[in-house]
Amino acid sequence: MGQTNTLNGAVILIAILFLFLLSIPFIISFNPKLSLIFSSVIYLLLSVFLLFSLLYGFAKFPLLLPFSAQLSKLFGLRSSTSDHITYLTTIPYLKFSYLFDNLSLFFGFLIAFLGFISSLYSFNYLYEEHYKNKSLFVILFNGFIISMLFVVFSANGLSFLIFWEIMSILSFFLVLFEYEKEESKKAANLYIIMTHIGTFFIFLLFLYMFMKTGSFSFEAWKHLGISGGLSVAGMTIIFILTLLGFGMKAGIFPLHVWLPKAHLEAPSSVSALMSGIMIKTAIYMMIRFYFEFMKSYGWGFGFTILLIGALTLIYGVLNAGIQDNIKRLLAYSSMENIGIMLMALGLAMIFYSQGMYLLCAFAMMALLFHIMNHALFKGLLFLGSGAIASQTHTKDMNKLGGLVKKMPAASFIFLIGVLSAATLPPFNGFVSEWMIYQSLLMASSVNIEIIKVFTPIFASVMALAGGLAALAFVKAYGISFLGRARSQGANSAKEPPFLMLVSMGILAFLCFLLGIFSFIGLMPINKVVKEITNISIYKNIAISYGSIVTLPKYSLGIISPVGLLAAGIIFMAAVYLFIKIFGNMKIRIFETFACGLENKDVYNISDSQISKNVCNAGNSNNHEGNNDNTNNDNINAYTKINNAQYSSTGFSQPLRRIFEKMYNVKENLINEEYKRKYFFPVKNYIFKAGDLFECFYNSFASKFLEKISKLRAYIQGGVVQTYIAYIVGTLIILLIWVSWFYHAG
Amino acid sequence: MLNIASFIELMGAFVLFFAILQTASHRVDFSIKVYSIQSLFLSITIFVMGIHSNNGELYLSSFLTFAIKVVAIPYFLNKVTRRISIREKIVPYINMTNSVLITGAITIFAFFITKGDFASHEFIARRVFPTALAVILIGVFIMIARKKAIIQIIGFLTLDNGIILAATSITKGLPLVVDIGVFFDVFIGAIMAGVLIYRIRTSFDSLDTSKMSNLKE
Amino acid sequence: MWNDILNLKVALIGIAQILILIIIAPFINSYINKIKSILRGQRGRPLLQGYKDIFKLIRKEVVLSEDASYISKIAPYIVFVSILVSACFLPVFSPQALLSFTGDIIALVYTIGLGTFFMALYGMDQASSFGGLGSSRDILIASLAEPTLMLVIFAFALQTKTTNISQIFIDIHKNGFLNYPVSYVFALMAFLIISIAENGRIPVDNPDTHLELTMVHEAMILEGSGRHLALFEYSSYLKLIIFITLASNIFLPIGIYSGVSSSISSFSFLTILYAILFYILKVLIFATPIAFIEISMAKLRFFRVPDFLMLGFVLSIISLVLYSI
Repeated sequence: MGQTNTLNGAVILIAILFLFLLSIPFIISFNPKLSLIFSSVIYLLLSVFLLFSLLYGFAKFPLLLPFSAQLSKLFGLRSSTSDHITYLTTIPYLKFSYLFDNLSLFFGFLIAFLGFISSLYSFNYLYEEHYKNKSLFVILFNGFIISMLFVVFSANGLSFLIFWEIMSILSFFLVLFEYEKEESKKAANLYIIMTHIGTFFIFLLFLYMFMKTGSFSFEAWKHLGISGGLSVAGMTIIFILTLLGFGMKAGIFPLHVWLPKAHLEAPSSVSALMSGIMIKTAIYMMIRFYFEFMKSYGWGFGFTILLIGALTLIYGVLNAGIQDNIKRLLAYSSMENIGIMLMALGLAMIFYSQGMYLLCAFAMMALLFHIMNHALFKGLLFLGSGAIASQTHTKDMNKLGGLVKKMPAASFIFLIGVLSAATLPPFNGFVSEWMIYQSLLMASSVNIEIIKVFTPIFASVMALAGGLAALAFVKAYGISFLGRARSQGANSAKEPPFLMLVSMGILAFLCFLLGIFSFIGLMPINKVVKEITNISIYKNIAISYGSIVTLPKYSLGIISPVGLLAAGIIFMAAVYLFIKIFGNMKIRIFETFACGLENKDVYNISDSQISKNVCNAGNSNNHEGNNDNTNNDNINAYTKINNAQYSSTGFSQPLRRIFEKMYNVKENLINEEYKRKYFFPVKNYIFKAGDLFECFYNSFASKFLEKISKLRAYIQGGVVQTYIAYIVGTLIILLIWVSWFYHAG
Repeated sequence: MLNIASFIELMGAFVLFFAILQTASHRVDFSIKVYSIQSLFLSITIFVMGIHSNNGELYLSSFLTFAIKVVAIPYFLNKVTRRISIREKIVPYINMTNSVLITGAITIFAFFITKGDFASHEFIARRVFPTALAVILIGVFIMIARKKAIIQIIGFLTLDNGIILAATSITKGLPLVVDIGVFFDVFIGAIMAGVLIYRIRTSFDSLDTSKMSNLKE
Repeated sequence: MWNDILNLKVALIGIAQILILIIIAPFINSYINKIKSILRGQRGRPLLQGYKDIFKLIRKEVVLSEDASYISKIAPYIVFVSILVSACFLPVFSPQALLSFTGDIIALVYTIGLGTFFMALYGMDQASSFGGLGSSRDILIASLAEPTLMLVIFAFALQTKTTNISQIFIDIHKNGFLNYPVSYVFALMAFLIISIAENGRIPVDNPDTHLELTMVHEAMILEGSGRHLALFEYSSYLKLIIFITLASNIFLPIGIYSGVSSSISSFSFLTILYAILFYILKVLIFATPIAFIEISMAKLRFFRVPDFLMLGFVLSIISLVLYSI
């Protein structure tokens, strides 16, 4: 704000410097390891730079002043009076302009930081998973991160669209990275189709904005908002288009179908990025539209967003609970978190429309904090799922188990991620969720009856979702890490390599740190909120270093995670001492009671015993997929003992039954009687959890495509004469149009 | 803190609570028990209203409620069920979870719709009438949503409880003649319905009223 | 309020409150069992049996499954401590709770949730088939009960305009909840239902049986022994007393401390003693209906439990909406 030209020169220079640095990983991509190390260093530098420029403004970097003027001339850059950089092209309307306000800096920081973490992780992960085209991966991966950076820094509709498309297409290629697999192809196709439908709506939206302002630049759009040049109908159009366009990317309730599939098939470091930050670029644009380009709308918009958020939340968490594939579970949990974010966004909009800027700032803070927290813990969980998948060669939880002994460090890190994602204290998810609860409660001070009645009900929906999320994550952790190995793959797992652990460890540490000392995270966020609402509430929120209170005016409650943790530690010590003094600290190790049956861990008995009990245990477990139990004949009695533990499918059975109507679940019990004549028939239980809406869209799309293809057969008959007729017809129409145009002109 | 008007409202709230519990019941004997407790609270409400408005007729009305609805009708219904030995569960058209949800919606609707009315009325009418309206609507809902004839009778009796609550809350007590007439009506109605149930049972082997459409042919 | 934290007397009262909770928790459980036994016509276990059990268990050695990991070793402590910490948020006989500044009523629900989470993990750690069964059922019931609990809580929070439990306590004692009698009845009933569900009492779960078809909570801790089992048992006693304390202080807002401002310097030892005795009386009053419900109802089939919880949910929604309009 109010920066001079020379300072902007410094910004430009730094931007150019980083552009240069960012291009290096592409150049040296023939050596993936070197390239990844280099890119991780660059992303770290970039994220630190972005964080500092967010916290202290650009004025802290005056060293580069002397060079700036000449360089900016050299590269054809032109800095305007505000914090924009514009690069003019010869194509009319197509200007590449970038803005570095606090909002985009915040998102840029998150992207760069997650980029750092996931390139550090990919360094080992690529070799653990034995991908073929490692150089290609590096190029796509870096391109993806950089395109996301450009998306959030774009200050012009057209350049935004270009980078948005590049981001979508690169992520499409990354989803398709294991292109030999049929599922990858399907997921990638679905993803690219849906994301392009979304882009279509965004394009319509930008065209509408262009019609209103005659410009594609965000600045002009901001003026539109300030001048109040939008009618109610116009705002409604914008609102619906943003919901459809950006909602498709964010994966809101009926448009989420691509999300679980794409996240499942992408390499794990990419799914961490996609879930951690890519789907939130949509939220970023929503914030821009609803708080900068649109002003003075009614409370209906906010309420709609709140409602959609609640639906997304409950649908996501219900589906997360029944998944057997760990990455699908995490993907649905991302959907749940998008729902939470939308609820916070809706609340902020309601407060904004009612002129309650203090509460708006608080809800906004909760929103941005949750975005940050979700990026951290969901990034961690996806990276962790990648570690599991690379070590055990399966993502199916029914084939995991017992990993806590095979990979103790990774399991501990994953536990922290799971606790944060289940929003339990003292981790970061809890703090942001608490803030959103408080915002929901404070909505009762809005003097509108519908909001008064519905916000507590939404809060109860959030509570239900919190409980079910705990269920989903108990399942994710309990089935895949605890108990005994359910397959040979899980039994032979080892600790993932060092850099994978380090990258996950950093995220886990941050989850804990932000949960205890939340003010660290709230400080940069406060800058963003201040820019949007002109109110700085940091001092009101974070007092006494870590205690959080709501605004004094509405003072509803206090929590202090530090105090909680301290009390916990003190009590823990007291209880331990008490038992040590008065009790018995002995532990005897014995086998688990199995109702009197023989109970041996299949995979930990001696080789001779295994060879005695013929056959290759766990042979069937090398296959991916949910329903591949065809080799059941080969499983010996011992494997059945290990499978007597509760399975993932069994764990979610009560949930499935209670919310039967929300799911599209296929269950089959097949008797294979012909294989074994004189014994009990082998029964194969086949279970497949699909998405309700996927089924719905599929039937719809198949009907639609059928009609289209009929039409196509009619038009494109394969007769040459028809095609010539088309050409002539087009020419005649063009001639008529041109002549009419000129005569009229 | 606990003034007498609040106490009336509290007792009225219990009447409503047992009406809601009625829709969640799975068994016939439980339904009858719930009805009897609900009537007990109704009679307490009427009694306290009598104290509040110093109306002697209300004491009598309260006593009649107790005698007929808490003792006589449940006794009679229990006798009928035992005699035709209804062992089956309550068969709903709408399942329990949904009917409880619908009942909640009905209650909220009743309170919403009466919010503006009775603003000028005195306290009791203003505060108790919405409760009574909710009880009436829930009684109707039970009659609609259940298949078994005996539960439909209980729905009717719940409705009647709601009507009595509404009438006493608005008028501070009906004239005694009307009161006695109404009680007599209900009592005879219940007995006749019981006899009818017995007849239905013997001729259809079931209390499922949806099977009575066979009569058309 | 902030200056009071360092006040020695306040801290002493806070510690006294948490000690009272810890001390009477096993007693209340034995009391409920005693009433049940008497109603059944049995003599019943002695009232001090809870304490004896705990001490006996602590002195026994732990038998741990060979499949167990570090989760089994830390989970009992985390479960117990999370319940203990959430007990510290509660005002028992005076509004000066020990940790009232670190957590409000939402934090209380989530801290209890942490305990549930680890208990469920404990159930799955020993590779037995019972543990998974218990975890799956218990966490499902807990998550279905959570919205109702939140709604009841919000009914108080909206009325008193705070989520701080001590503030709610003071406000309720000052003004009473009876300004909205219909809301009050429905909130009370909803709270009764979720207390039963959360604590695994009879219509939802039977704390006395080890029958695989019906057990929920016991299945999770089936492998527990020695001090681990003691901690689990104690935390379930404490959880029950937390819910009873909340109910008795919110739904029966009368007591020696009612209506008095938070300046406690004027209180003598004797008044505090009376307050404690009065609190115990209130707890006994609220514990008795649980025994009566347990004796008069059969355990519900597992898939009937959602119906039961749905009733609670609808009641709490009605309670809250009637307050709002």
